[in-house]
Amino acid sequence: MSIAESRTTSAATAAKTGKTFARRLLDAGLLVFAVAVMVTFSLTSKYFLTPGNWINILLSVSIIGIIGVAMTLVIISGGIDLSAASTMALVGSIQGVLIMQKGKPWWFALLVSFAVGLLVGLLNSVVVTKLKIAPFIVTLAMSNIVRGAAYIYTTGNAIFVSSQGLEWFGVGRIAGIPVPVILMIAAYVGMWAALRYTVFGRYVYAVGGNPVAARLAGINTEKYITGVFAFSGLAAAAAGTVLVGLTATAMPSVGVGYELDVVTAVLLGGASLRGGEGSIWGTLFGVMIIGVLNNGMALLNVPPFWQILAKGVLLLGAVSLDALRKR
Amino acid sequence: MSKSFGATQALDQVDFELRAGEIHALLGENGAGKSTLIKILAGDYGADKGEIRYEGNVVRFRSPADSRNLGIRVIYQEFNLVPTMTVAENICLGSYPSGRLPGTISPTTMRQQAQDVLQRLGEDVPPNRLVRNLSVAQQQVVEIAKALLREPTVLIMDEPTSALNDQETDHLFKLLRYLRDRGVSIIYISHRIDELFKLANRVTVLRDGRTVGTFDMSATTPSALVQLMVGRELTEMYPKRQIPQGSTLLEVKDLSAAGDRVRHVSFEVHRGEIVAIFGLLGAGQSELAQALFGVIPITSGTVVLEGSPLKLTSTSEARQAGIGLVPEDRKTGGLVGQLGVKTNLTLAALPRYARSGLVRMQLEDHEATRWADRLNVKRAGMSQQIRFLSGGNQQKVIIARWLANQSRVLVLDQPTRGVDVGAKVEIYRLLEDLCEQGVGVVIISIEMPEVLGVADRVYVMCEGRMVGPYRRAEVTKHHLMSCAVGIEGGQQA
Repeated sequence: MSIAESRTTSAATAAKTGKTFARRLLDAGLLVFAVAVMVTFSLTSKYFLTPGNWINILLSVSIIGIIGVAMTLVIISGGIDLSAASTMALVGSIQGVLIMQKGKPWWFALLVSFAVGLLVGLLNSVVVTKLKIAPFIVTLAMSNIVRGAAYIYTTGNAIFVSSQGLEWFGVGRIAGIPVPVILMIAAYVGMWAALRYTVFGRYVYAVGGNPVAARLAGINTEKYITGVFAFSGLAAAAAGTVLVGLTATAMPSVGVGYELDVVTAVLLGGASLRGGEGSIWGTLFGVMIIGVLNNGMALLNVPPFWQILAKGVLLLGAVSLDALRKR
Repeated sequence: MSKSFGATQALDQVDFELRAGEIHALLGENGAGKSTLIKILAGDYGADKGEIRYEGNVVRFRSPADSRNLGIRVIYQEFNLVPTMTVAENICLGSYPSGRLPGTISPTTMRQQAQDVLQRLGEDVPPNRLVRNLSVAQQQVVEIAKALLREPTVLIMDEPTSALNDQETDHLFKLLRYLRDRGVSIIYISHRIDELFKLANRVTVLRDGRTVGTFDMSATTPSALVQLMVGRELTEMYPKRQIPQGSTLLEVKDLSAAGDRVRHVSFEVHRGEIVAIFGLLGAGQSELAQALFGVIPITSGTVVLEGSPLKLTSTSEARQAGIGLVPEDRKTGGLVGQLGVKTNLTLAALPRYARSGLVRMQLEDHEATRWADRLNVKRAGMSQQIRFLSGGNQQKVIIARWLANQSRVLVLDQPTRGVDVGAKVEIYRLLEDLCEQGVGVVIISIEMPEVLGVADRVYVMCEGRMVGPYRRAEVTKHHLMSCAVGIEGGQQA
């Protein structure tokens, strides 16, 4: 049998089994996977199931969790933002330099750094909408530009940041719950409502699902793409602030590869790289899987090189899942 | 034979019999079950109930390969050709002749094989030409040649003439008769009833997933077939009403766009009037529609709606001004396939159902359901993904999208392409309703009967220029066609 024939055959076989059933099976498979991971970790590490460890997990995913909120929006709109993690590092670096080296107040540093995050997002959107270049390549390039800028601005050094104002975003607690966790949950609830109840959210789905049809329905698609990337820049700034607060350090090299963790989480959560599909709670689920996996591997002393490999496998798995869903 | 998808029963005890060496037409509205039947015969789907017999023996298709091995070949409406490969490579795709060394192919043998098949067809498509450089008719020849290379016994063709002109259609028919005379059985699907009488031996009519009957072509008439398809009396195909025309609604003056695709076009639309813009494909009428909707920039000229000039630099401006566009290509330009009926229907009007950016969901649900009911959109539910609806129902949703937005001018580009007869009449009736409410309707069409059937006034476009208007009662087919091909264009009504 030829390649062409075998391709149509397998596609047809998949079609025969019924889409909804296949999809349910895949989703169930994800749940089984998540449960299996948790059972394994709880059996092999006595710390895993303690409440303290769960707060730890939530806290540890708060960074990718916050970026994940924006990444979900970007991916639903049919794009991707690979510059988010670098933007996060740049934002932190700016805060560190402004507060510790230029002696500016923390709120001023916060304002400037968020403006820079927004600017990065807007730059992405301008290139994407005006030059019609694929977001993948635009944000890949932007990722290096921003990362380079962070190194240049800090001359490559990590900066110890002591600022009570910023500290609160990382280690502060409200009713015993860490502020980053609260911020993350708030972001998810907010995005859920935005996607469901606002014209903006609904049009983002349409723009991602079929940009031509959206435009021919009288929707200003560029406006929505711009909004999406601008939001992504702001979310990266928020994540960067939390990270500085958590670690009391501004590091230009921080978070390399985080964007791939985030994309993995969003795809595990059921979004499609083709756009037009995805749910915010799915992303939270995906973020938790990654958090649990990271946490478990750390508790079990899995060597870091193996952790990298495992995450690569997971990303490939998530992309494959996306492809299988589309069958 | 029966087949159901989810809650939708697509086929219900359908009987179909194909004799050796006949051309058998399959006729039915969109959604009548033709495509499903074909897909079962091609082995893409399995039947839930019933059986397929081939030369008397019951056969089971577990995959498309089983169907292929029996010599059943399907040529779909959308071609399965690789545009960046040559004609010969496409024809031989899947069974490349091997060369001397293992794992290599022999280009000369391949070219020869392709040439042989093309010669048998009496075609002179150059085997070395890239497929993307061929005309649609030539691509179809390549598809047929590809099917012939494997000596098919049954050839299934899904609406092969929808993209062909008359001459190309005649040529295709000659080819199909030639194949039939060599013992190939052909299942031929088309909406164009007239052409079936030129080609087919027998016809089977499907309606709502059931077989209505099988007839010899010589024993039936076009109007009888139409009636069987729709299952009800078609009092008139074009339900033209007498609607008093209102004041001028839309005034287009000296409009140019898209280089020389639209050149100094002027026309006007009154309240309660259907204006048709007739022309051959590519005469600039689609570009005109796009310019009116802000999709492509207007280079010169003015568009005035109810006395106020419009800038039309973006589609959202056009939408807000009260212009609606039902685009030419439903799939790529109209639908967001993975979203639901409701979301697609309210796509343009959503801001109307929102207060400071927040959608009032109940209002939206209520309005969407109301419009879907009013336009008689057949659906499993308001959140059913729109790609699962039939072409006619999809089109109704796109039209409803603009009605919900209370458009004052509705521009429809080929509104009934790929839409079955029943839905066509519904759409025409709907346009008449709109006129009664004072909407101005612009139909862009390449179908002469449609133009003469529904329009109050007709403009004709040829190579970017426009002539007319002609009143419907005062113009002949012959005259319109003369204008469209640029022979005539003198007197105006």
